Amino acid sequence: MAEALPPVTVIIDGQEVRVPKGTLLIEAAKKAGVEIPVFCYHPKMKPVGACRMCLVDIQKMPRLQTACTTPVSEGMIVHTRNDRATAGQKAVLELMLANHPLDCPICDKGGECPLQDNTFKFGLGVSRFTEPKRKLAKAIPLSERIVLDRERCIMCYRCVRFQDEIAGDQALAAMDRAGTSQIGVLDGETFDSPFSGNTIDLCPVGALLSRQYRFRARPWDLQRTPSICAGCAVGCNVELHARDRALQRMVPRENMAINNEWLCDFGRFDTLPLGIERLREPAVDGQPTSWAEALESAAELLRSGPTEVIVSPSITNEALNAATTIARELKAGLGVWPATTGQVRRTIQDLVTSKTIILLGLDVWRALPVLALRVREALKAGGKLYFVGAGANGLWRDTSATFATVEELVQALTHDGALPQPISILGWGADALGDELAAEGMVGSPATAANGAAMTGLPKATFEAPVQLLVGNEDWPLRSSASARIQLRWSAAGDAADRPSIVLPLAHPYEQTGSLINLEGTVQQLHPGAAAPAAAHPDWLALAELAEALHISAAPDMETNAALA
Amino acid sequence: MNVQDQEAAGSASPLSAAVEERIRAEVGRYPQRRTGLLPALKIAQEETHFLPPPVIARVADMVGVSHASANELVTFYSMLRTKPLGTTVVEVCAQLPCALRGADELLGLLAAALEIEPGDTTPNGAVTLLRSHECFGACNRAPMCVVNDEYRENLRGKALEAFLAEVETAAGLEGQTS
Repeated sequence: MAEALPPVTVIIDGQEVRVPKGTLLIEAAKKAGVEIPVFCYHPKMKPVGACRMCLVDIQKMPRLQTACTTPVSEGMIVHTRNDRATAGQKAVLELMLANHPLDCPICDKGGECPLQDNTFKFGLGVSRFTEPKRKLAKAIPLSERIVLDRERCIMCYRCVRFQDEIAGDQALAAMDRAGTSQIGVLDGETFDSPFSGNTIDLCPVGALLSRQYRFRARPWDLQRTPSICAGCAVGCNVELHARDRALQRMVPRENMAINNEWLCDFGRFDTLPLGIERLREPAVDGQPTSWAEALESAAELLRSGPTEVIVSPSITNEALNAATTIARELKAGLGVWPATTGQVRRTIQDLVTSKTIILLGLDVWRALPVLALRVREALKAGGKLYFVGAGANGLWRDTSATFATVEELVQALTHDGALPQPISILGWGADALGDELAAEGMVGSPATAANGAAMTGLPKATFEAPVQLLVGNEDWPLRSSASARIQLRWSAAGDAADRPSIVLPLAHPYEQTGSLINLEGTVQQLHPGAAAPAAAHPDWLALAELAEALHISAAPDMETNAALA
Repeated sequence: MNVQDQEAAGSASPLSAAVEERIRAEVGRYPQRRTGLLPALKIAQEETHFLPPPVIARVADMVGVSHASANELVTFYSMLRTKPLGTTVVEVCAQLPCALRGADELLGLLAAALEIEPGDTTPNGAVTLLRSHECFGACNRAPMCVVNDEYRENLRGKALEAFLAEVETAAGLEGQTS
């Protein structure tokens, strides 16, 4: 973080505001409550002054200046709404619209489009152009997830800058130049980045759009629910967007302590229960039945034989609590599968401020994608990244050195004195190395599953008991030793050979309440952003009902949760 | 995956071992590898004459930048070619003074005579027609064009007619259009 510079006073549209010297005029205006229209400027990225939308009139300057690239200085007097400034803004918009198609009625961005909004608020209202607009390719599939509309693109470079500055993989670039310049990739290739979805949010026009969401809803028809991504242990803060209570898309919510403002493509697109066949009703031996009957049969089975309760590391804390109670009362084994538990000391914030980051064989880029972006923030602030091991490292571009073993790393890096603190170490064996280096940053082997951090201490499931209670949406391994399996899941059970004796339909994490603990130990609440299938129950409610069928009294916090439902 | 792994992954390189060695040596001269991208692409183009996507991808992998970034550079600089050139290259200046003196008309006449679009090459590979990105500094004799590094100026009236006939001959098209 930059040290606080001495404050200066500037006057913006008559408003006096005091900001640190060097603050960009656009940010100073925000503080003064003055809106300056922008397209290319984004507070998370370096300013480029490409779109010229933020032209303002600064006293004693001969020409209009871009507010996004001008640092304030003492006594600066700025007019954003006088005749000169508004004439400039109108001219920029008029030129931008000279070739931008007016297909807003069929454009996904319509209703949440900065170009639309700025045109209404700051534009001329009518166009003086009579010439035909440029015809360019529309709806070009850039990847399986994203389409590009070249006519709509205004070349603000936000997407290119995101892939360069934030993701660091430079997966998009500006091809050609001048009037024919356009966004693209190498011919014959696709826009492949685990963070590509963020460019959809960043695009200030309808040029980059989600193929999953395209033509499915209008922004003003969406119900928006804040929730938590259930994709991995980072616990990114999200907003669920549903139309008529059916989930349509997920977008990130800013939380500087966790995900900044980003979301990975896996979380954004692949964790949604879209295009996946749902389990819609309880069934016993393949026959659909009622919840009451299915619970009765399940209780009977569970009482009959040695039982193992097996939980997915992605179920909620409340469900885990109920499963633990059931296992204890039945004197059954309790295990987790797949085993992705882990714990870290300190927080993501400590990782972001680290000066040294060591990854012990952990490919953060793939396992916990948004955490990789947070690692990059630390590197941009002057931190150094080291990798140990022969495995894949998605952050290879940013890695200062790779070592075969921890000993080699310690030998190579500490012979000139201690590594700069705070040191963050992630991966297997992090604790030992953390102690050796007296690391002051985030240290540990983080969980990767959504609620993996809550499962710490649970043994790995054995799948050996004849009766198995499987809680959560996993591809459970086949086990012929089981005589009966009871599955609580939200997707239709796939494998016929593994047909469970009893299935109970669950709500998807985005359709229920409950809490998840992220890798650093922060407890976050899920909120239902869409309606679950009629017969599906939240994971914790299904288990509470099962406990009741087993005449096990539900724990006190179960009642609290029942009240929430 | 680091730079070296990426190099190993691309098994059948579109470049010769000698050219790859030159590129490696050139890139190694720069404190930041990506600075070597432009000279690396020039070295590659010496061998392949133009830069198709597999060549761009290979050079990008060797330098350690994304394929998109390398393509950005290639498409920005007009002297890095993305299409093969014909034996005769006709580059029409279309900058302001030439444009005012009928450069677009000249370009149109050449395109019609060669039956191709500016930027393309005749199907027999004889003539490539290009619209120049930069001024050739012969504004006083506009409109003009450059044929294989040789200036052709004041292309109007009789001079134009003779030039069109010459280009058609070069393309092996004489007698077909007139």
